[in-house]
Amino acid sequence: MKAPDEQHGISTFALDVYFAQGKTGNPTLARHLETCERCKAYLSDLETMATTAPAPSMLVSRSSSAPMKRPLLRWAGAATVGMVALTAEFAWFAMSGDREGERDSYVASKGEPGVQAIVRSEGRSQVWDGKRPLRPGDAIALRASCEGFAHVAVVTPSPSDGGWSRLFDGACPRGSEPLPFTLVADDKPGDERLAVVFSAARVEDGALRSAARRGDRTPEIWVVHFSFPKAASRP
Amino acid sequence: MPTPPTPFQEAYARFFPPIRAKCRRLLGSSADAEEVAQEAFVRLWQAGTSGPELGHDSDVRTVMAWLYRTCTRLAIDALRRRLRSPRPEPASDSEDRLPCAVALEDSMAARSAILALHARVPGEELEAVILCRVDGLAHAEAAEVLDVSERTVRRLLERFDAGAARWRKEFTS
Repeated sequence: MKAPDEQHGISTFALDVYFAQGKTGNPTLARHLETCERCKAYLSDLETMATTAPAPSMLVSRSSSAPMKRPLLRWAGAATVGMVALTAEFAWFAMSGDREGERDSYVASKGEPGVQAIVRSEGRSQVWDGKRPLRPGDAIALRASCEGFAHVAVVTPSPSDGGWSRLFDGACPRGSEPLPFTLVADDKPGDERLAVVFSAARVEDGALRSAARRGDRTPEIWVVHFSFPKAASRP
Repeated sequence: MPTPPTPFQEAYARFFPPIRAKCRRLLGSSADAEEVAQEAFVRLWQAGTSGPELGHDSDVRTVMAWLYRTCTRLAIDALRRRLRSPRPEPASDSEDRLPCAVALEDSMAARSAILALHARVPGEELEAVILCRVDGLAHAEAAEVLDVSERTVRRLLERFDAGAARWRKEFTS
């Protein structure tokens, strides 16, 4: 087996860099492409993939610019708003083994807090892509990046009084640990909605509801809204 | 007026297709590849200022190397999870075409060896083998991605080959 430097070919890495910089900046590679059908086809595949790429799973920009107004809904494309019916099951996903071998050295930043949703459906856990509808029975775990906040609460709209109910409340987890609970989607129509509220310390109910309703984003409290569309039912 | 994309969104649009393709070369399944590629971008997002600089003036090569390194490690984790939670190896739905520097049979042979040995050899060896033989990087490029010397890359490949030879001997004896 020969490495590309032994074969004098253009490596995948070089092609990938060329693609990412808009197919410019490498005259040697451009000349190579004039005669190499395989490399041309490879780049063509990447262009096709670019048109079908899913939305990024991190739903909040890490930009340090001014806070964005409800970027989650924009990224998720979940425009409809419906009734929430979540069952809080205080149980861990069977994910502890999944995290073995991950390197926490990747995680270190000062910026905005963010939340990643992980959906467990039919025995498989996947990072939510921002648009895939939930099916009844699908379980959702949340991974929070607290970025300086010490406390996190998860609230969901309360159908009885139009307010928000606290589903989870606790200290921000270390590293990339998911919050220690799961939510299970039911078969009722409408979207599943929830809000994750970051703060320096535990927030009393009234203030928490107000912050969730307004979607506050200040140095003291930071709210991230989620809206999960739901599929009608399992086939 | 539409909101301009953030540096992260822009990076995602530019880098996600090659990173997903890279993951698919190793993992075989589009769904698994997409999951791992997405996770690599989560890590990029989480890395914040300690990660590579993003934006118009960013060094594309540096960002690509960071993503290559990260998704290679995540893909190794995914392979090892398959071993811990045995389920059928997903049928390869990869119809990606490979560039001329990568011979399909060599890439497949390397992938088979990785699948056989991934639980027995150190991650560093797997990283070097994946980059050089599945992805078809030159030794210098693999060294750049892994942030080690070319000599170290060669040594890692030699160790992996020695381990593969031992495994074949055990398997055939």
